[in-house]
Amino acid sequence: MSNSPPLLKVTGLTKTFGPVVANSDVSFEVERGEILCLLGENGAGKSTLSSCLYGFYRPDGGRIFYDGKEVSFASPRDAIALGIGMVHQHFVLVPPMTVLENIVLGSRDSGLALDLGEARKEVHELCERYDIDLELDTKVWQLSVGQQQWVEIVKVLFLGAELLILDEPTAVLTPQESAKLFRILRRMTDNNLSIIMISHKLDEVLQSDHVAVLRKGNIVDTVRTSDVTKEDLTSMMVGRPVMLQAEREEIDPGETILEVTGLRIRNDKDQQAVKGMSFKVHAHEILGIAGVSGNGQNELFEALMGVRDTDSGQIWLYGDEVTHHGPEQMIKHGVGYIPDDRFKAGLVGEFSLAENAILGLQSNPSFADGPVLNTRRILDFAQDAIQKFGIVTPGPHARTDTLSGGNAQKIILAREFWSATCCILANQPTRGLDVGVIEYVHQMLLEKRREGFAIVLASEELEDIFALSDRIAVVFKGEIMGVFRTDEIDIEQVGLLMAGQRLDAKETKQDAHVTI
Amino acid sequence: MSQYKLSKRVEIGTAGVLLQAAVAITMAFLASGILLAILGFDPWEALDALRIGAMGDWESVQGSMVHAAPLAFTGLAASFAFRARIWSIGQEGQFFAGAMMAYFFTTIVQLPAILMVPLVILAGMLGGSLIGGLCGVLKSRFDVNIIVSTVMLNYIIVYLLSYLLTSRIWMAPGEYYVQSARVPKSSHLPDMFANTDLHIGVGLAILTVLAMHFVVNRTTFGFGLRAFGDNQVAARFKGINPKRMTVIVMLISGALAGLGGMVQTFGVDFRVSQTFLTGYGSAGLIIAVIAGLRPLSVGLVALLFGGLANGGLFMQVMADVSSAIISAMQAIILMFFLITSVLFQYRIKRVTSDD
Amino acid sequence: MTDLFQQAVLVSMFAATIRIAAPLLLVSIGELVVQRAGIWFLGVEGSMLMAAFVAYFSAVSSDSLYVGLLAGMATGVVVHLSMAIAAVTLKINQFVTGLGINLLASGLTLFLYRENLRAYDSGHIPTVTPFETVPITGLSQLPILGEILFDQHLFTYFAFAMVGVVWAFLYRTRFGLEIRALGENPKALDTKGLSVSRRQYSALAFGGLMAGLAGSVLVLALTDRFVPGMTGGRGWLAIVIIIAGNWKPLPVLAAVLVFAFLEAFQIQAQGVGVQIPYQLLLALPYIGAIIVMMGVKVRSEQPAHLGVPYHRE
Repeated sequence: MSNSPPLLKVTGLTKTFGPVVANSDVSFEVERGEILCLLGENGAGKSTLSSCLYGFYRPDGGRIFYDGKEVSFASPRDAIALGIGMVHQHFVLVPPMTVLENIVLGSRDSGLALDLGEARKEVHELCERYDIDLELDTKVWQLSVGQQQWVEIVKVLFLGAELLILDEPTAVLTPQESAKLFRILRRMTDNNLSIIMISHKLDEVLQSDHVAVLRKGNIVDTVRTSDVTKEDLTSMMVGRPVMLQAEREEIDPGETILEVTGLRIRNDKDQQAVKGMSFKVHAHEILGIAGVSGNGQNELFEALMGVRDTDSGQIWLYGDEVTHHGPEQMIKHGVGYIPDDRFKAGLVGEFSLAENAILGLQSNPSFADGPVLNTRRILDFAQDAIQKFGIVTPGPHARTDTLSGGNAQKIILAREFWSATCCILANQPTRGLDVGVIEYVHQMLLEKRREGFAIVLASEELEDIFALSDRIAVVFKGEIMGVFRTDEIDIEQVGLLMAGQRLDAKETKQDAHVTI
Repeated sequence: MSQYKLSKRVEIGTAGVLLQAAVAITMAFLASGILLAILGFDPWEALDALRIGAMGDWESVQGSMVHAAPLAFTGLAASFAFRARIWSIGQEGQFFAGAMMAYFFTTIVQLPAILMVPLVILAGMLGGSLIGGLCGVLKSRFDVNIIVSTVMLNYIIVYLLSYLLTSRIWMAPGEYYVQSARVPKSSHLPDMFANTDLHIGVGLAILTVLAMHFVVNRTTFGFGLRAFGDNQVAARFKGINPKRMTVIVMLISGALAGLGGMVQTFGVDFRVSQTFLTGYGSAGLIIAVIAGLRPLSVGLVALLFGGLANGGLFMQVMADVSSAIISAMQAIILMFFLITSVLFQYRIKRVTSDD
Repeated sequence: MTDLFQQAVLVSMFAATIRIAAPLLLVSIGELVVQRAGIWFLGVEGSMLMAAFVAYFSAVSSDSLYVGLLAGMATGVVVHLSMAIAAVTLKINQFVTGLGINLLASGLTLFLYRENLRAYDSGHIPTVTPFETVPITGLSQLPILGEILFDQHLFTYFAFAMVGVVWAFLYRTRFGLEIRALGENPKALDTKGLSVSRRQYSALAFGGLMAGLAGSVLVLALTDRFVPGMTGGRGWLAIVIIIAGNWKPLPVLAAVLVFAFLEAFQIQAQGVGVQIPYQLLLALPYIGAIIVMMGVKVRSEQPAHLGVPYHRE
């Protein structure tokens, strides 16, 4: 124990939402100049805890000490005044404004007039000190998500933070960008700043000094990082040993089911989002699409499902061209879609579970007699789905927006697996789910692969991609940087490709390493 | 640390909605009574006259039903569009257009009643859906905001009617008031039963309420409409074409409002004029919101508003209160409904809660 | 027609354009700030109408234009703040609330107008003596331009000045930056501990002041009495103008001038007896609005969070 008090000390913190206890009796400390990692699954209460630490939520019980003095926060302003800064997982930036405007937003240092000169100098110094590259006059919407992360961090530093809370900071970064992030974080701790990092990614957790493991709102244990292994942490986090790798049996791929040739697509801002993609997916095959989100994946999936126009190129299904077929036809062709944002693109929140289970299939003779819905058969189908997929719900009439993310995702799986006959398009199918459901989704996808489906799987989690895919296509800025058999390539090489670097032809798996 | 805080309920249920509507209406009557008292009226006398006028005897109940029929149509028109989250406020103009189109047909064809009545009904639908469909096409093809196009057309239609009348194209020679000539007897909507004032427009309104309930809740089209209304993105992925849906909804919504104008003209007024047709569209908007966009409830709320309108006339005679208070009262009911809707969404709970 | 006559007609038409632009400009500039702050307020028409009603009866009963003016402005603020309570605090649907305010205003003013008139001799509708124009010494003597631009009401000069003021506020002050951020992503302010609702209330109060002033100008400067429904869609036109002006002050000014010109043209054309049905002339601004909306495709500055109530999570 050092003589000076810890920078932050939390004792017995409790936070409830109605009947839901998000955090109960949480206690931990952060010393000056260290990185503490809060490790936990989705729903373990990590984000609620951090929101309490910087004044966005008010805890219901417990005490917080900062620099030895007890404090309480009425609003984030109080936390900021003390020197606590938060970097949110879902960035809170204003896209049409410049980087500099986003950074100075809300500060009053130079009075009423908006004089950015002084601020510009200060931000420059910060960037130099920590070796961060930022174009201050670029509009935020033009930045990649990785660059937006730097803006968020500088925003917090600009407010004078001594303690930075980072919520899942590497979720949107390539492996090399994460490595860079940790170098910068170390530079900060060398400058006596402290960092609380929230994560569920074990590789990154291992780079911290201490780990506090959260499970169901409680801190299960706080350990020194150097004393534990990945496997220890996983079982502490989940409460049981977890099979980290799904078993993917060797099956020879069959005939070509889906083929894309020279596809070009524009995004909502009328820019080229997909610049000439070509690939094939066979029966019994999962094609993984690796890439940081925002590199054309969404536009690609939208075009494949027929909801976005293509500029040029073709889409083929079993050798028949289906390029300008709308979503109704694509569903009829037997293509299923698992969207990245399930509540936005996959479900109707005001609908009941049963209605969502047949969304898009309402005119199918199985669920309608001519123009009239067959309520009986719809309910039966929903009841079946609840049982088969283990959906936790009061019943088929429950409103969908009351369900958890995992249960909502299972409705989509039930529906798409029922209607799809040849091809599944899965866009970030495990995003935001906890380990149990992730395992389940993986198993279901592998089962469909066994049955002979062609599956396209996009994921930011490279571990998922490697665990499930037969081949991996890496995308960057709307282009495919290469398609590889999974055993031909490793995570570092994929990371480089995701950042837009072409692999040296001579480079082999053995000598590839992180070089940024 | 214990606090009292509000937590949001997910759904308030049918009983909750009815209770809420009752509270809102009671509060609105109270507020109107206070307003009357401030202006020097005896609020009891005035509101009692309103009650007698609305439902004092069988005759006044029939009058209220007749007043309710066009309101049910505009209420259905608004609720149908809003259900798809299409913010059309064009019911007023479509109501005019329905009446005007039906009137136009009476000026060019003469048929026996058995054919004339169906003709004016169809013409009413045609008039309303032309205007509604135009706004739908403007949205789909040119991305013209539906609110803007419908409001502007409301004004434009009124000027068109004014032109047709003052230019004497539709006005009878020697007529003093700015109103059209009477429509031919053969086109009048006949009474449903002997010895009543209930013309078939009232029956048509009831049938339409039931039909819309079925369409919205039980058909594949209604399913698509509701999906589109709550989540356009998801609906699009599931095969619902937003442009096509917008045009279809606006055509149907317009036809409903147009039917209302036709019913009012050929069941009650037998002439068209701006004063005869004004106010039904905006009342329909209020009815739709209070009815929670549910067709069956639209029918009930329309009956309430029909009673208000009918009673208002009696109140003007008996208590000398300008019947203009009725449109004010309708809006007051809406405002109280909105406020109570928030209060009924929450219940007071101990312990904090954020949503 | 002589050239001189044609010139006189044109000059008076342009002068009328500027005069008519004033209330439309005031209400549009106010609504611009409101929408930039993320509030989609459709009740401006009602706010203006209520303000005109109150301004008129206050001016008549107090026999003072200034009392009327103040009362009208206060009314605008009250109506706008009732929107703030509904939309910001209670988070009621902004579309429905705005609509409700319009309907309440038109119903209430019609009823109260009829009841209030009973206090006066039957058949005699009281009038106000409207504000006079204030020629700017020197400039108003300029040929042509002087008459068009510099012999106007004080409100007109004020309205045009407000375009510059609001522009400077939005783009050159820290508060303006915050208001713009509010319409795009209110959470960016909230997570820095800056109150979202306080700023939205302020924006609506400003919008109310402008709408109240606009309504007052209608009865106290441009005419001499209140007529039910006299705002005649100006509040709705303000909403069209903001979309057409892509939520930016100077294009909003341009759009206001287009609509004011249409109305001035209509008055002038009726005055010289052009052989067109006057109803078509009256409908011109509304037809124009639809055509403008068909042509204007740029919505780049539309606030992303417009009309969406802000909840924490």
